[in-house]
Amino acid sequence: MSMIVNLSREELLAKLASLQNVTGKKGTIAILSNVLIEARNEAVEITGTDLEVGIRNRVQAEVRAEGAITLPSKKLFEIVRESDAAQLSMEVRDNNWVRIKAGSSDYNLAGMPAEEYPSFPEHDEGALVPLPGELLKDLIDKTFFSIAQEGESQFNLTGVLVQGEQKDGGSNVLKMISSDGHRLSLMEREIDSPLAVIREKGVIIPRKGVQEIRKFAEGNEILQVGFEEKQAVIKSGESLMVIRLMNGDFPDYKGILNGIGRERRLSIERAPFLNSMKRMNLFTEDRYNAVTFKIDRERLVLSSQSMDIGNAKDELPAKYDGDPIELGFNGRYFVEVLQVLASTTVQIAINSEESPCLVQAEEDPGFLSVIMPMKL
Amino acid sequence: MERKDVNLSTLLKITERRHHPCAGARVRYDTPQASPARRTAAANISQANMTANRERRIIHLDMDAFYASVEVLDQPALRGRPVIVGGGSERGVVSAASYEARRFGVHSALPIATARRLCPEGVFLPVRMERYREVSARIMEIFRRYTPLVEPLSLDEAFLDVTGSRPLFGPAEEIARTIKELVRTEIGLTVSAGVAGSKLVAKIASDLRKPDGLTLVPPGGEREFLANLPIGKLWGVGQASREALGLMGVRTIGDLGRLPLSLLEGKFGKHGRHLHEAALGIDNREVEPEREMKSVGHEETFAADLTRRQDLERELLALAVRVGRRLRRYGVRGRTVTLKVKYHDFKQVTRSATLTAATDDEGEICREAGELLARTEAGRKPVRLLGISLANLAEAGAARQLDLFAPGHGQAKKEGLHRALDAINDKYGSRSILPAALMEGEEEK
Repeated sequence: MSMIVNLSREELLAKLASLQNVTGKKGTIAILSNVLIEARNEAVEITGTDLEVGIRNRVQAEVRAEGAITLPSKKLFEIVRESDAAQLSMEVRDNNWVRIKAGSSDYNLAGMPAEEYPSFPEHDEGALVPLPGELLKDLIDKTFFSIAQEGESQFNLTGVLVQGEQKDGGSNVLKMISSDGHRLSLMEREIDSPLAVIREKGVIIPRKGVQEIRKFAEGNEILQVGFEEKQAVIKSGESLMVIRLMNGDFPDYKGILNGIGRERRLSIERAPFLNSMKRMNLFTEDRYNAVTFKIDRERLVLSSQSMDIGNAKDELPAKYDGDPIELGFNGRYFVEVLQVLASTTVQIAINSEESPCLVQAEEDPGFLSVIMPMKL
Repeated sequence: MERKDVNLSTLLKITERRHHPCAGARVRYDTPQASPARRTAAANISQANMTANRERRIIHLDMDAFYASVEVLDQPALRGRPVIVGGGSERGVVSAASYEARRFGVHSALPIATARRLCPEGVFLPVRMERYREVSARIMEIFRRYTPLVEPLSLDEAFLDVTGSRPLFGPAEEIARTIKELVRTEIGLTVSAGVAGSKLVAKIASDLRKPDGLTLVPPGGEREFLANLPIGKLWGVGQASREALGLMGVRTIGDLGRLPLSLLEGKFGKHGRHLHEAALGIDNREVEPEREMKSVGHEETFAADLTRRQDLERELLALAVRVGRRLRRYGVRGRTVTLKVKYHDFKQVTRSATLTAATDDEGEICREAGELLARTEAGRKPVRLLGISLANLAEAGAARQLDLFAPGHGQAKKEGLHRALDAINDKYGSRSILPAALMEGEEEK
C-alpha cells in the first residue's frame, strides 16, 4: 500500500524550512538531498540528515494510507512555499512518483524509495535533562564566533567543547568553549541538574550542530538535552535532533587560562572601545587586521595602517596597572568579543607583547575570552 | 583629486617595494637537475658561449662584516673594537663579527659562548634585522643607479650585470670603484667587489681581498685567475669534496681543471660535471634582477624513478629543507604549499593546501607536503620528479598572528634555531647540518 496523506501547508512549510540547512549540502550521496517522509498513526515524520546532523520533525496529518517515500528537500520546500492552499495532499504512485495537490495546482515529483534512506540513530530517552533554551542560546552566542573554520587548524577546533562542572559550592555549571587557535572564548552558566553524562573531558559538537542547536533554542523555552558517547540529542516539542560528536581532544585550554597573569589589567568602557575598534578596522590590511595598542596608565591609543588606503588613530581614556606597553592585535577579534559582552566596562589582562591576553567583564561573570597578540 | 591621491600612494608603494631587497627576488624554480640528454646539450651550448662569456661583465658586491659594520655605524664609539652580533642568549651563534673580532678567531656560526671565551673584551650585540634591512635597501638603491640588472643574494650581497652600462658609465672596474666610493660616502660602510665575466668568478674575486677590496679578472683571464686558488674557494666544494679531491692530488682549482671530465663524473656523478666546468670558469647563469616574488620552490628529477615510500619521504624532506632555507634567505614566508609530482609516464599532477599562517619552517612544509603526497598516486605509480613550492608570500617581518596553543616563545625559539642552523650552513656549506633522515650516505662522500 502506498502512502496517502493530507497536511497543513503552514505546518509543513515550517518543518521543511528547518531541514534546509541540513539537506542543502552538496554531497556525494544523492539521497541526502532528499527528505524522508513517513506516515504512521495520525502523523507524518519528516527527516533530513547530512550524516553529521539528523533532524526529525513530526507534523500532525490526516493519514489515509501509511507508507514512506523520500523527496527532493529543496524542491518540495519550494512547492510548499509557493503554494497558496491551506492544505496539501501527497500520494505515492508507481515508480516512486509522488503526486502533490495544493489547491488548484497539481504536481508530480520524482522520489526515491524510503528503504535507501540512512536509518535515524537511536537515542536514550532516559538521559535527557531539561535546559532553558535561553541558556543554550546565550552559551552559543558567546562562543560561536571563535570556532575554527574548516581546514584552518591542525587541532580539533571546528566545533564547540561542551563541559559540565561541579563548583566548590556544589552548584553545577555548563560550559561551552571554542577556539580557532589564535583566540578562545569560554562561557559558563549555572544549571539546575547536573549533566552527569558530560564528563570532565567534555564533548565536542561540530559547528553545524551548534548552529542547529541555536535554532532549536531560539523558539523553545525548554529543550531536552542529552549527551551520549557518540552523539548529542536535543528534543523540543515535535522535533528531535541527533548530532554526531567529533572525535579527538580539545587542546588544554585550562593550562592556558592558568598561565595568564591577572595583575596588569586594563579597564576601559566597552561601547566606546568597540566603536573605536570598528573605526580602526577600516584601515587594516585584509589578511590580519593588525591594530596597534599603545597603553599607559591613563589611556589606550589605537592605530592602524593600510598600505593601500592610509592610516587611523584614536585615543581612549583607560586605566592600566602596568608599565606602558605597545602591542598588536587582530582588530576583528576584539570587535567580536566586545560585541557579545553585556557590560559597560571590560577588564583586559595584558602582560607582554607575546603572551595571551584575557578579556573579562565583572558584569558578565560567566564569560571570558583569550586573545593572542600579533607580532608587529 | 581623490583619484590622484590613490594613484600616488599606489605609486609610492610600488617604489618602496621595488627598493626593498627582500620584497622582490625571483619568480622561478631552480633549474631542475638536467637529464643526460639535456646535459650534453647544455655542455655544447656552454662551449659555444665561451666567447660570449668574455663579453659579459659582472660585478659581485659583498658588504664587509655587514651586521657588525651597521652596529659600528650606529654607535661610532664601537669603532676599532671587536663587535660581535648574534644570538639573543648564550646559546645562540654568531651572526656577524667585525674584523677586529675576527682577529680573536671569532667568526659567524660560532656559538656565542665560545666567542665570549675567545674574545672576552668583545662587544656582544643582538641581531637588529629591521635596521639591517633598512641599510641594505639604501645600498641596493645605489647599485641600481648603474644597472637595472641587480640580483640581491641576501641583505649584504648582490650581482650586477653592467655589460650594457659601460657606454654610459665607463669600464666595469670603473663602475665598481664608483659604487664602492658611494657606499662609503653615502652610507658610511665598505664593500668588497669582484669584477669578472661570470657570476661564479666574480663572487670568488670579491672574497679575495676583503675588507674593502676590489679584484678585477680581465676578460678571458678566468682560468688563469682560478688556477692557483685552493679548491675550497669553488662554489659547491665543501669539506667532503675537498677531502675526496685531496686524495686524488687536487689542491688548487687549476689541478681540478686538468682532471678529465670522465674521471670526475665517475667519482661525483652529476656534481662532477659541475666541478669540471666551474674549474674552467664556465658559468653561464644570468644575473636575474628581482621581480615581485610570487613563489619560492625547488624541484628535483631523480636518476631512477622512485616507488618506495621511504625514498619519497626522504626526497620530500630534502626538498622541504631547501625550500625552507631559501624562504628564510629571502626573508619571506609562504602560506600556500604546492606539491608537484611527475610520474614515470611524464603525467604531472599538483596538489595544494593553504595553512593558517605563513611559514618558513621546513618541518611544517615537509608535514604539509607529506599530506599532499598522500593525495597523489605517488608510490603506486613510479615518480620521476617531485617539487615543493610556497606561494601566497608575506615578508617575514610583516605582522603575524601568534598561536595560542603553540605559544610565542616556541616560535621565537624555532626562529632562533633556524637562524643558527642557517648561519652554520652558510659558513660551512649547505650540507653541514641536515635532518638525520638525510644523513644516510653522507659519510662516504
